[in-house]
Amino acid sequence: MKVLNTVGQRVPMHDAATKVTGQAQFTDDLALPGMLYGKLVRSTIPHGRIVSIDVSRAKALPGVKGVITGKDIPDRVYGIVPKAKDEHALARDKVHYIGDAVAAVVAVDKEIAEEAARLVHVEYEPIPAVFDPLDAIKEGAPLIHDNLKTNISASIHKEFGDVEKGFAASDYVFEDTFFSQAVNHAPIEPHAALAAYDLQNGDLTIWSCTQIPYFLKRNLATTLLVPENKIRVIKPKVGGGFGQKIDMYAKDFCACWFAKELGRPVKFLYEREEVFQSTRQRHPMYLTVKTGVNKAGKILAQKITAYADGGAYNSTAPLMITLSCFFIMIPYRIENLIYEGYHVYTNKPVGGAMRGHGIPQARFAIERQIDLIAKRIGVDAAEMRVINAIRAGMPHPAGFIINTCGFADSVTEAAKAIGWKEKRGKLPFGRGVGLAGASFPSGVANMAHLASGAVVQLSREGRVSILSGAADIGQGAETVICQIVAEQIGVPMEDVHITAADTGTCPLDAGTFGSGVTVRAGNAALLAANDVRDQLFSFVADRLKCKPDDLMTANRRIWVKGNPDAGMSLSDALFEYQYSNRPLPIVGRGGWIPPAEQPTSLLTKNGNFSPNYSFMTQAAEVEVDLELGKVKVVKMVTVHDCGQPINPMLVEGQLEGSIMGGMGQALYEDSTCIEGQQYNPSFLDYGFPTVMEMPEMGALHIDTDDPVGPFGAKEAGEGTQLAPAPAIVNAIADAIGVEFNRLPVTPQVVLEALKKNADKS
Amino acid sequence: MRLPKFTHHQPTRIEDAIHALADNPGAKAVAGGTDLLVNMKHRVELPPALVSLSRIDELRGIRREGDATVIGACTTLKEIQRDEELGRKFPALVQAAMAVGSYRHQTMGTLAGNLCQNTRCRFFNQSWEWRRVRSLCFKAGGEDCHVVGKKNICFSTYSGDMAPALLVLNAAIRIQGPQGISHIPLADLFSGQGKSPLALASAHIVTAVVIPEASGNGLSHYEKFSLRDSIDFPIVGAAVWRENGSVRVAFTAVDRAPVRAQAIEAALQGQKLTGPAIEKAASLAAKSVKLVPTTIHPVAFKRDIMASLFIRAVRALG
Repeated sequence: MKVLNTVGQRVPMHDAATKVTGQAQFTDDLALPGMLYGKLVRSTIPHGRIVSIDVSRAKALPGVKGVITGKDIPDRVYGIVPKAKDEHALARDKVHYIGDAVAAVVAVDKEIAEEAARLVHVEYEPIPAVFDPLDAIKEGAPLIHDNLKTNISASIHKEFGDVEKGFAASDYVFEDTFFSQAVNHAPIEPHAALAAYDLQNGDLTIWSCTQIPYFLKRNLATTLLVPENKIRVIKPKVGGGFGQKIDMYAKDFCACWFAKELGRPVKFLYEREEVFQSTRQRHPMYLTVKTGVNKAGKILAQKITAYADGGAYNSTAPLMITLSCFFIMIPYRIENLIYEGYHVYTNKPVGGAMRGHGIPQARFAIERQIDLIAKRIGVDAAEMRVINAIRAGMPHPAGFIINTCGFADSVTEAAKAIGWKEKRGKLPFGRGVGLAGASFPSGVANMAHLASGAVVQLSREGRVSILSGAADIGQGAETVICQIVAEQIGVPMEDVHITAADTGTCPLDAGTFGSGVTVRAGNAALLAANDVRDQLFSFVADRLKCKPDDLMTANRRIWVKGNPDAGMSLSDALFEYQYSNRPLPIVGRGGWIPPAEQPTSLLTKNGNFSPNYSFMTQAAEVEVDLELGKVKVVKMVTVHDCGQPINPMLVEGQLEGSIMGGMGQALYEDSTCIEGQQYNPSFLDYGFPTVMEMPEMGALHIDTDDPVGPFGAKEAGEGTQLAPAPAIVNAIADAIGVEFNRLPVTPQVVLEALKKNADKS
Repeated sequence: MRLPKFTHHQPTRIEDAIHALADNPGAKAVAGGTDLLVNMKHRVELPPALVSLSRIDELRGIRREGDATVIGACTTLKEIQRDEELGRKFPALVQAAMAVGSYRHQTMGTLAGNLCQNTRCRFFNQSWEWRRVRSLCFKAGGEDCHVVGKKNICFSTYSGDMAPALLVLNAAIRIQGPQGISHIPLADLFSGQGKSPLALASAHIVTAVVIPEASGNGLSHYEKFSLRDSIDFPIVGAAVWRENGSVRVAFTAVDRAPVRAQAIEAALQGQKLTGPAIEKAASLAAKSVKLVPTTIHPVAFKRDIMASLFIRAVRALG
C-alpha cells in the first residue's frame, strides 16, 4: 500500500467532528426567513384513475398558502435515465401505487400543512392491481402505464460467445431459481428540500439531499420549464444515500414550484414512512440460472433469466437490468452467456439504484449456485471460484478492460482468513463457513458524458481552496479529494478547504453513483492540484536554479530532490511570488472523463464500462440457533482489491457498512407489502441489524496499482455490498445443510427447514 | 411525525395527579412516554390532556415493606437493572428490564409504564396516513379487525417484557384512586380485551409493584426472543419460576394480555424437571393462549418459539 504524506493515511473524515457535535448542517437544519412548510397528499389505493380532487377545504384553512395537484403543473415527466422518464411530480390522471403523490400543500407551519393535506379529498376509480412481476407479465394482467402495451418497461437480451456449444461441451448442466427480496436503503437522514426564489432576477436555489446535484438541476429545469442556468442546486451535508438519493422526488419539484409561485422559501421534509413507501428500494428479483460446467468445475456456459419487480415507475430500470447482465461476466470468466432480463412494473413501491444496483441480486444467485454446483460435483467451492476467476489482461466478452485484478488471490486469502481448510464441512452441526466473490466498476465510462471538474486555489496565506462538484453523502468523498490535493501541493490537511456540490459555484460533476467518485472526481482534483503545483514549481525552480521536475513538496516546504537544504518554505515562496507581480491566488483547473468512446451506451453497444474494476471476496462464519432458528454471524472477513486506498480508514468504514448491509439483506430486512402497502415502514418494524448484531470483522488488502485511478485507486464503495449476503447464506448451508435460495433467511424459514429435514430423517 | 396538541399537567403529589386525571376527562397518565407518545404521534391515542408522573418523588425507588419488596411505579428500568439486591432475589425481573427496547427506552421507561403499555397490532401501530388506506380498525375507533376480517373484535397483542417476569414472581400492584389505595394481583390489571387492555378505572394510577419476599426463595429467569438484541419488542417472551416441586410459567406477546401457562404449570406440578418432562410440558405452551397473526410472524412459528423458549428458560434455571 502506498503511504505518502496524506494519501494512504488514515485521515479522519474532515467533517467528522462537526457531525458528531451536531454542528453540521443537513437540509432540514436550514431555515430561511418567511419559510413555508410543505406536505404531500399521497394515494391510498394501489391502482386507479383520479376522478376528482377537492382542495377547497384545504385551501380555506387559515395559514394555507397554496395547494396544487397534477393538473396545475406542466405535463412533463422526469427520471434518472432520459429514455425511461415516466414519473410526474404529482400524478395527473392515474395513481400507480399506494404512496404516489397526488397533491401538495404549503402553509405557514408544519401543523397546518399536515392538517391541510388531510383535508384534500381525492376520489378514485380503482383499477385491479398487480403486485408480483410474474403475475404482471401474464396475459390479461392490469396494465400499469397506459402508454405501454405490457408491464415490461425495460428488457435486455444478450448473447456472448456460443452458449449452445458451451452447454454441449459441459459435463453437467444445472438450473436453479433464486429470489432476492425488497430492501430499503434506510439512510439515517430522511429526504428533504428547501427552495428559495429570487424575485428580482428569477434565480431559483434549492438545497436538497441529493447524490447528483447536476441531474437534479436538469430534471428540475425540464419539469418546471425554467432554463437550467436559472437553477442552482446546493447539497448540504447528506446523511447517507446508498442510491436512494440519486432520483428527483416530488419534494424537490414542489419546493421549487411553490417558492417560485409564492416568492417565499419552501421546505419539504419526508416522514420516515414516506422514505420507505414513496422513494426507492432495491428491486426484488427472480433469477433462473442455468450453468454448464466441466468435471473440474470450470463454467463453460450460463443462461440467465431475470425478472425484476420494478414497482410503479422506472427510475434506473434500463441501467439496472443492464448492469445485472454485464457484471455476470466478472469476477468470473464467463465466455458464453445468454442473459434475458426484464424490468416489470407492479403496483408497489418503486425500485431504484441501491448499493450494487442490480448486481447484488445476480451475485446472490450466482454465488449461491456456485456453492450448489461445487457440492453436486464434488469440487471445493473456494477452489471452483479460483478456477473460474478472471485475471488481469484477460478478454471480457463485452469488452471490459481489466488492467489489474486481485480476485483469485482474494479468494485464497479469504479462505485462509476464515479457516476454510479446517472448518468447511468440519464444524459441529449448526456452525459453518461460506464465502462469495464480487467485482464492481469505479464509476461509469461509456453511458454518457460523465465528467468531473475541479478548481484548486492557493492563496497568498497558503490556504488551499478546492471547488469540486463531487457529492459527499457521508462516505468521505470530500476528505479523499482534500487528501489528494494536500499531497500534491505539499500541505497538511488543515490547510485544505473544500466547497463541493453547489452547481452555482462548483464545476460540473456526474455525482455520486456507480461508485465513481474517487476515480473520476479524484482524478479531476489531482489534475487541478498539479496545475497549481506546476505554476508554483516553475517559479520556485527559477529561484532555486533547478528544473521544476526536480522539486519536491511536503509539510509546507519545497526543496530540490536529494538536497533537502536547497529549498524554501511555501510561505516564502508565496511571498516572493506576490512580490514578483504574479497574480494570486494561483488557480489550477482540472477536468477528467474516463477514457472511452463518446458517446456510447452499454444499453445498445458493448464496451469498457468503467475506468477500472475492484474485486473482493467476503467470507462468513455463522452459528445457527437450532431451537429458535436465529442465525448469528460470528465473523466476517473481507479481502479486497480496491487498488491503492487513498484513505484506508474510510475503506474500512465501507467494508463494515457492507457487512451490516449484507446481514440485513441475508437475515433481517424485507420491505413486505400487504396489497401494495408497505407493512413495516419504520426503523422499529423494518428491523435492520444494529451494532449489537455485528460480528468480529477483519479486512485484508490485495495490493494492485491501477494505471487509471488517482494514485492507483479503485472503487471501495458499492462493490463490497455484493458478496456478504451470499457468503452468509453459503455459510448457513455449511452449518445446517439447508440450501436457501430465497432471501431473507429468517428464523421462521430456518426452523421450517430444520423441521422438514428432521421429518425426512 | 409530530405530537398532537394536548394540555400538560405536572403534579408533584399522587393525590394531585389523581385530581388532574379526574378533572380532565380522557386525560392519560404518562411516565417515560416511550409507548404513549409514539401512539399519540400515530394518532391512535389522542388524550386531550396528559398528567405527567415524573415529578412525583414518592412514585420512585425500591424499598422493603414487611415481607415484600416494593418498587415505585416510576422507577426506571435502568434503576431496576442496577439494583444488586433485586438481581439476587428476582433475576427474571432484572433480565426482563434489560431486555426492553434500547438503552433509551430503559432510561426513560418505567416499571409501571412498561406494565401499562398498550397492546400492539400491525394494523394499529401505524400512522394516520398509513391507516387511512383501510377502514378505521376497531381498536382505533372503527368497527373492523383487519387481522381476522371480523367486526367489533380486537386481538392486538400485549408485548411488554416486565409483565411475565412479575407474573411468575406473584407480584401484586398497588393502585390509588379518588377513594384511596388498593392492591390487586398483577394478572387482574389486564382485561384480556384487545381494545382496552387495562382493567384500570378512570382516575386510578398504578403507584407501586409489590413482590412477596417468598418469591425470592425460588429461581427465576426471563427469556426473550426477538430478531435484534436491541430495540425490538419480543416476538415471544417467557418467564419461569421454580421452587421445590412448584413451577410458574408466563408468556408475553402471544395474546391480548400476558398469560400464565397453566397447562404447563399443572403438568409439572410436583414433577422432577427432567428432560422428557420439560419437553412434554413445552408441547403445552400454546394451550393457554389465543395466537392471532397481529405481527408478520405466523402463528405456527410463534407456537414453536413458545415451546423452545420455555425449554431454554427452564434450562437457564440450572
